[in-house]
Amino acid sequence: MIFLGLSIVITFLVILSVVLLMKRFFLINGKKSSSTVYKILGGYIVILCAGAILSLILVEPESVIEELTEVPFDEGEFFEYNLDYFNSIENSLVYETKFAVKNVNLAESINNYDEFETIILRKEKNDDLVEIAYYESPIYLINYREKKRYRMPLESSDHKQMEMSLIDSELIWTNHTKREYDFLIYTPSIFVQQFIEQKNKESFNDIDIDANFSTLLIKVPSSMSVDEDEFIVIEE
Amino acid sequence: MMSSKQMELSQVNKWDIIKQSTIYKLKVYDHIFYSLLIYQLIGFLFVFNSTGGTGMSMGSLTINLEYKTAHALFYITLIWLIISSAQLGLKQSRSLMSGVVTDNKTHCFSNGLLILLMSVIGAVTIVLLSMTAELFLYLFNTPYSTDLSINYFLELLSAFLYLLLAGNLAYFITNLVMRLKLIAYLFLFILFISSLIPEISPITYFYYFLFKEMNIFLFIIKISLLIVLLFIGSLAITRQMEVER
Repeated sequence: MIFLGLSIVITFLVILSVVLLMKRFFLINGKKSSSTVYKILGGYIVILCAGAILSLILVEPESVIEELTEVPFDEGEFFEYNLDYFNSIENSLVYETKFAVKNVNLAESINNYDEFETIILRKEKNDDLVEIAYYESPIYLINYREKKRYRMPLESSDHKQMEMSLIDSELIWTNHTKREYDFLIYTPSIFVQQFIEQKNKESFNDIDIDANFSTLLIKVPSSMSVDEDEFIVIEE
Repeated sequence: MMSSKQMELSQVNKWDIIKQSTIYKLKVYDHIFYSLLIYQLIGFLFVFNSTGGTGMSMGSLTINLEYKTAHALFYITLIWLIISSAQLGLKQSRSLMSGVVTDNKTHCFSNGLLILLMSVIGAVTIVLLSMTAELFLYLFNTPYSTDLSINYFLELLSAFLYLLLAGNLAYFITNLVMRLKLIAYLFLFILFISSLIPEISPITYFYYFLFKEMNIFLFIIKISLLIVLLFIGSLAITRQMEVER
């Protein structure tokens, strides 16, 4: 913020200095000429034109733009037990771990009030290894007016940090990451807003966020029994 | 003794007088454009203030949306144009025209031309400066998302029409106050009283008539009619004070 503030002030001072220098440079016999002001005005418009051209060239959202489908995230495919689907999700964050476990149960922690969709796959081999992978759908900024969605880039530090712990013969996983994103939206000025039809009938705002599809994919050995309420009991 | 032909006065082209008058006024009122620069540079700083924001929280994820826009640039340019147009309607502006031979009608037309020119320059600089501000916001805020429905041509046209309307309105009201004080005060008094009752207030009707018009073509027609009516009104008022053949 300090950097932004400094750059704004510096730009303001640069433009003001240019204007005053032009005024001094174009003085005729020490007297102000009316043509001076128009030369300054012309120079001001030239500077603005340069800024506008740069804006058209450089300004581009740092995200992937996709056409909006009827459903922002197709929930139907999400619950298929198909490993290939998970591998095909772009920009999904995968956290993998392998635990050798015996005589333990798997319990889901709700420390951070995150909800997971837990999918359990049974491996063919019996190696006493439980493999856990965490998938998270990308964050989308949906623009209903444009019928487009923007996939927001995520830093590697945004990767959810899962923690596994063994407490009283229960293997518990929790996530401790709190993430906060700031998005800036530059909207049309007030004198054109009356011409822009409010096309969003699904949300109060024309801009909306779609995110937070989280899945735990657990691969269990063939001998492990799986409880319907997501607790796994190992039988020796 | 001169012949009668040599005694005839040559007919003067009114448009030439209007042009000369406008050029003369551009020299006399050059400080107006200098003040535009200062006003807009101040407005440029206000663009970096947020106009609104919202936050969403889903589990451990928090998302903050911040809205920025160039409203301030438009308002400041509007104020500049209103002040400048009102200046043109003052009695002192008429006395400044002693260097040019003109009547009230051509004086009014040249003022109209000047207001038109100021509106064009104001609208162009608003759009260009808002695009420059967007560039700054993009360079120093990431990730960044823009509402891509910004139509720069529509912005330019709309800004120009609103500025022209405001300029003509200010010029008309100034002429009315300067020359027909009683009618002006009566008009303002009625406007004030009626504004206390929104159901019958002309301001409410005017708001819905113009500012809620979504069709661009209807908007252009409505605002053009208003501008022409205001200009004709100004012309009628200034001609009241003149004796002509």
